[in-house]
Amino acid sequence: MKSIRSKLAIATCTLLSQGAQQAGAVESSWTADTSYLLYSETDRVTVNKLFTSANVTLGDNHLLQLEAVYDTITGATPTGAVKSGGPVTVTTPSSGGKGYRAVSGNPALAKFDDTRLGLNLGLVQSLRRTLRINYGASVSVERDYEAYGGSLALERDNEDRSVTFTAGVAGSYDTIFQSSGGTPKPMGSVEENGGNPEFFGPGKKRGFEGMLGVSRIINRRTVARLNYSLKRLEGYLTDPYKVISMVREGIELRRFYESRPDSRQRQALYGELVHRLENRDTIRLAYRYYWDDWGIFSHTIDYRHRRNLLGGRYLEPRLRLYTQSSADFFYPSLPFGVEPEYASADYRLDQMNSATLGLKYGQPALGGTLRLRLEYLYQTFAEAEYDTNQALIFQASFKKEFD
Amino acid sequence: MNRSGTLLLCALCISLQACAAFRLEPVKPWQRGILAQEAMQLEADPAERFADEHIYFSKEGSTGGRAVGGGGCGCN
Amino acid sequence: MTDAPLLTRESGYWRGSFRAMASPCELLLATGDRPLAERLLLLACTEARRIERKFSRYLRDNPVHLINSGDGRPITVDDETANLLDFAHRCWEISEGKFDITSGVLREVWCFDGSDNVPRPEAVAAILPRVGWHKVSWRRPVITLRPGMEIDLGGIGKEYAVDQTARLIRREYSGGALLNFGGDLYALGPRAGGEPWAVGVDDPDATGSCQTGIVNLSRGGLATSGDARRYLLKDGVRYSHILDPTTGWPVPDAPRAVTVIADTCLEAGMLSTMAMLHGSRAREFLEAQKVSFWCQ
Repeated sequence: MKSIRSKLAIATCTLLSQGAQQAGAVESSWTADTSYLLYSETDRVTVNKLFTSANVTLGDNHLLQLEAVYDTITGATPTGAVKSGGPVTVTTPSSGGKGYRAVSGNPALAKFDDTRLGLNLGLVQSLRRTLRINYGASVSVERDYEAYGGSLALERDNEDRSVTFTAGVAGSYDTIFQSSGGTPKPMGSVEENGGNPEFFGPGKKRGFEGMLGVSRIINRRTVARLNYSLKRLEGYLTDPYKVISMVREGIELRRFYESRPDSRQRQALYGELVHRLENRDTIRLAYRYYWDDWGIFSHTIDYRHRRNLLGGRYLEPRLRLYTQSSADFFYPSLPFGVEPEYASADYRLDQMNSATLGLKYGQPALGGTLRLRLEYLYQTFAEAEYDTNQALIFQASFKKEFD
Repeated sequence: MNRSGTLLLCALCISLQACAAFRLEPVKPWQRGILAQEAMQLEADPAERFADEHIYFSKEGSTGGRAVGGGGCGCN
Repeated sequence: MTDAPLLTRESGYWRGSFRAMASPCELLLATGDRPLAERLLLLACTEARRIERKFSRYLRDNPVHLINSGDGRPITVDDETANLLDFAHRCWEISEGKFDITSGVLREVWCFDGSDNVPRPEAVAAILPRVGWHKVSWRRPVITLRPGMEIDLGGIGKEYAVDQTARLIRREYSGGALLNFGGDLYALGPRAGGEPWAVGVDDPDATGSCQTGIVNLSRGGLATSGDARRYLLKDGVRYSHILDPTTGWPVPDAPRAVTVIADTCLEAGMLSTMAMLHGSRAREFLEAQKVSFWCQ
């Protein structure tokens, strides 16, 4: 028979030492988690992001979650045009007017900067011991994009709480426009009307989403979950800044604004497994299979290995691998005379592989927990004008509970 | 035994061990001490997930799978 | 309850006595300083009665009563209660569900008065849905019981009172002392001259004070579980008053009493209770814990 004496001694010691400080801290009623994130690509985009999330317990059955995010994006992003461009101009989000600010005369990259302010509000309500309902609302505003969303999710535990079922729905309504206010005519020529191409009003995008999930305790050291999600997007799904070049014998003849279908159906199967090893390390393995009706399917594997050190500190290396096929209407450039209904040279619709290698460190500090992570992202693209992208990601987060 | 046979045997051993570690066993409520730890939660570090979702939404063609809702953006 | 504590001089020590927690309580102090002895006795008496008032399930308007009369509503508790609930939760985990502070409602059908009044199995089964710590939602500082459920900190309270009182005394007094709250003991150091306190371990079958052994105690806790007078006897089967919360029935072949010595009174109390819950394997359980024990 096993000895429980040391466990009991620890529990007793905890109880009796707490008893000494009768007027000790009451259990916190709210927690705040604040992060700074730097995402920096070599010679391209830099994102500075500041976000905070607060959880407040309201009474005994409600938990209010408030998230605020502020980010700034600066740098240059691929436009979709080929590098050997001609004397063509397009607008950029930063300029506020027309007149394309090519980077050192290179039309394939556009300089831009933008700021975004986002707010998410959530409420978790415990209806019964085994039943919770989550309400969510979100709003996000940029100079050239506005997004509103709402969600509703039910979580139901089985009687011994070893299995939890989740069912959720969400809707979103986004408005997309160039910072000058409108959206270009899809497949419209950039140099049309002497550089004054036809523009329409803002684009509208509606999203409908549903998810079914189950999480369960596998054994004393393992939990797992499996989700299926379906999202349907309708409306203006084009990127109003992206263009595509028409090229003959390596020379750009014309340049068009890109055009994408007006609906997209995304589906994903997501599985996650958390397991504690005999040596007290924790491993976390996630896999996602994704497919949509634009012809993109992808595999994502995300592996984390948390090494617990003394004093609540830990180190967590991470490896994330991603591979996707290209969208049906992706063209690095259009051959002469071919003007399909839908065409995009956006590198994100190209066949690609991504790898992220990172390390996270956590430790208790100032009565809360501090986490630092540094990651390196490397992407390769099959056909896009810029065939690689690399970025450094740094995040510092601090979480603290308050009375 | 040839090399591929050895590899096959190794793979078999590893997967057998993995199966033992991930075997479904009833867990009594009082045996959930390990599972209650912060590192064992399916939602371990929401701040990291939030940042990651934004990054990979902006840089890859796929998104979603974990939860419904959340704010959209026109990120490049 | 309200009767004043009594201080008497014995050879080489002061003996303070009072009643609390339905038991005779004693404080033996290896000092000649009477004002000090008076002060410490008052301290011990006050603390024991404070804990009794706060955690007795027989009294009204204390946290336990509030929790038990919640009728399915969430109740927010103070720090000390929360600490005890955390401890009860740990003990439940450690004992793999055998130690359960929600098992008290089983006494609605089990009355251990020495008779043959064994309840019908259906009556026991009807109570079981209201037993089980895992049916309680405990998220510090909020506890929610299902309607009809109750908690009882009686299995912890007296030992907790002994250890807490010992801590209070230790802050004001560095000499030897022995606390005895109804058979749950803690020694804060030996008698004058370094002699250990002699503690008699009762024979559970005896009605009087016939002692089966003398235990020497200088430091640490001692607790006894088991009560010779609380049992049922039917068709030649003796039913002990130790109930298994998972079945609702007495643990078969439990020892009549178990006495354990450990570092604190709480540990001694928990180990002796858990040993009883192990039934015929009580001795084996105690041997694995590597503690001094008497199993009868």
